[in-house]
Amino acid sequence: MRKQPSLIGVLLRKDLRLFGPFAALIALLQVLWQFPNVVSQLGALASYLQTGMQLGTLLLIVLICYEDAVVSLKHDWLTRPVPGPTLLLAKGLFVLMAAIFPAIGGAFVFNLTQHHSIGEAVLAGLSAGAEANSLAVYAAAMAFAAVTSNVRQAVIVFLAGTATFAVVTAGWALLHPDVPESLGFTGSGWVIRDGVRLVMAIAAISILWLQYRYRHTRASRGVAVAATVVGAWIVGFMGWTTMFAVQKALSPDPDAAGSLQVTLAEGCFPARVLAADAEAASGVSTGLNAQRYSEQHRKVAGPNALAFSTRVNARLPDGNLLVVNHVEARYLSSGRVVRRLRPGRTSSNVMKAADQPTAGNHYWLLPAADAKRLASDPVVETHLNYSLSLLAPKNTAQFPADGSRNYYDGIGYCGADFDRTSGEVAVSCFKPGAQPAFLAASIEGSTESAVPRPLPMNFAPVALDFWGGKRDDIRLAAHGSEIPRVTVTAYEARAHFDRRFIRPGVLGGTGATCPLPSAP
Amino acid sequence: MIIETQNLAKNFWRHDAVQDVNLSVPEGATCALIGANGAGKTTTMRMLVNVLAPDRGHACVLGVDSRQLKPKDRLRIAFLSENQELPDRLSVGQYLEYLSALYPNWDRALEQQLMAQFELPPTRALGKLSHGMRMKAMLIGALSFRPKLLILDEPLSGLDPLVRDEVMSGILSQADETTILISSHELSEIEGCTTHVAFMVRGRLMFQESIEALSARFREVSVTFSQGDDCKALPETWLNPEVDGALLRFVDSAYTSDDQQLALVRKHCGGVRHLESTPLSLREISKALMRATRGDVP
Repeated sequence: MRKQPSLIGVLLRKDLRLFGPFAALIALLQVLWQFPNVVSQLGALASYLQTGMQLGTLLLIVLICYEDAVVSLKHDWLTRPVPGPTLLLAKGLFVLMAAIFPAIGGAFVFNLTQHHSIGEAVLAGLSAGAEANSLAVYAAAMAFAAVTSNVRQAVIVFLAGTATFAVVTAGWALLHPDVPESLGFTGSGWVIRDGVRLVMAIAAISILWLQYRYRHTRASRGVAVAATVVGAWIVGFMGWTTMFAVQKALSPDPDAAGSLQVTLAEGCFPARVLAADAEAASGVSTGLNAQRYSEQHRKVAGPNALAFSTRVNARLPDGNLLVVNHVEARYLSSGRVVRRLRPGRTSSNVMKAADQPTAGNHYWLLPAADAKRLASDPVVETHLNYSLSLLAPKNTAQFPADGSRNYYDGIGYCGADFDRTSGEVAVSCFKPGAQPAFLAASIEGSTESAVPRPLPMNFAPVALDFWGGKRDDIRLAAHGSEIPRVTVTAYEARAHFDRRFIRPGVLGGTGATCPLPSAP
Repeated sequence: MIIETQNLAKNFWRHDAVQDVNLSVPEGATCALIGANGAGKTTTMRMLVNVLAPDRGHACVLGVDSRQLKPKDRLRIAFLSENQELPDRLSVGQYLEYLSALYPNWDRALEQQLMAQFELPPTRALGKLSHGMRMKAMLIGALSFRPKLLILDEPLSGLDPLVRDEVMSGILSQADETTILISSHELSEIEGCTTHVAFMVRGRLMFQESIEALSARFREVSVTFSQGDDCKALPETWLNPEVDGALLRFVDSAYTSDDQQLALVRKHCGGVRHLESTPLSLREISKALMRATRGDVP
């Protein structure tokens, strides 16, 4: 009996002989993809290339696994002196060699070409090449190949699963004709992302172990179906309440929110009726309406909808930020929810301590018929539920925008370049491991600060963030021709909490005190 | 016993593929597992090498429970099946090189000898080989590590007579030191080397015995009666009886001697003018059994 390392080498050599050219192509694409300066020159071809690389990598993984299929009665390896776990290790090593090592190497070299230190290049290489998402997807692809027997079967199962998910979500959308929410892009989006990743990883590891160790196809397929259902529920059906309940349970310092004053602005909610003009009916929105409401939001609300706004004020400790993660308005009649509303676009959900008292505005649209119906109900109440996060500065670094790059505790590798022609300062930071909730940068002496776009809030617990890293690029406007100094601040989330405000009637008071506005 | 099964059973979607099979293959034997298509031969063999898990019963192979076969046990067991999936893009040479690395007991000289004997092109991809050449390549892969047990599932199926002879000679070259369990419909080819026969019908093992005992108890019997046929209640051991006027033909599966046969015919059918019994080949015995069991399972 061969020793395991030698056996892995034998299996690896066989697979390389079978898939060498394909694996080399994938490896090349993975390396190329780590050079954004090269990729950006490809123009429109880049997106095709990326799709091709991703699909190609997944295809290579499943083909490698099908070469010695576990769900089989005919494959040669089944009757050879090859232990299943050793075969799995060999397949895993092949994936490492074809997809992961090239990406790590490519990212490492790219970072060196950017004159980053070897330490940063190594960490950036690891975080780009062995990114947790990629690892989970690759493991899931191997697990998928371990419960199916060939590409045809895999395609059929994949299409059937996708179609089922599409039908179920479409049915759900028909039953709940509301403006869809992008919960995944809030600071608590990690609950979805890491939840799915965790389910994928646990299921993949279980399936691979069950199949390659015991060849328990039925049990493995059961795990695969269960994981798919749970994953689909997390992605498509987990509501904000559940997400934020998880977030709140993991608050680092829940008491920090206890003394925080958050109040709803007194008086009636400012309101008006949106004109039922041709522009609104056609869904083409401009001006103020376009800033506040999406086209879909206006379509769902219909003509002559009641537009109103709400405002919360807060007093925050110095330097702190208050993030409005989610707001929902509910109308209750005799304790029963009769209507839910979601707000329109919000210019900023980050409230700063510097703007005392800081305020957050939200804009709402209530369909005309609902407004009339609710207004005629004498016991109707408005419940405004705010899901909030308090952030406090944890680490600060100050450095000149002279192109030098250093490591700063809690912030990572940071540097800034000053372009005298445009007066722009480009700040670039790379943080390996646990990430701050939020990174902001400002020119020293200026009250204006900037944050990376799109706003990348991240309230994930440190334990889930240990693997990988993240790069943030921030652009600041500088005045004068002197090399400015830059201040970068990393914020940590201290507490996540809810605030509920209850007002009688529809617009912050009874029908008598806050009547519905008349149509323009 | 090299192979011993107890009440081995396998069910596919409520279809009993194998039912309570008790098979014993002694060391050094060449056992032919015969039966019609769908009799359960392949399923039984797959359970023996733990490619399939039995639903009931168990199998012992080389003294090890088949479910517990470890890689070290597989160094002594070769399995070859006509529909085995091979790494088709490897050349014959690369495939054998890959296999040789798996087996410390790989006999390079034997591999070379068989390569020469079978005239296989070492650089041709397995996927581009003819069916016969592919079987030969698999046979080299099965024989070159000198297994103690060789399990062959339809190794001669679809081969032309010349290749069948070549493959059989390859198998025979190992017969002295290897116990062989072979399933095949090409019974004429394997009869020469078969020492034991096991017959399966619809998942059940009907019998197993040595080829000598089997040949001794099967006879084709032809009886001419002095008057017309007047047979009543023929014995169950008379298979496929056919009457043509005063002539009765059947295969006796419990033949002992011509005298006893004559006495039995007289007892059931009356006056006999002439009785002739002819020994049967394994192929003819198999055909007779398959015809006899086509209707229902006894």
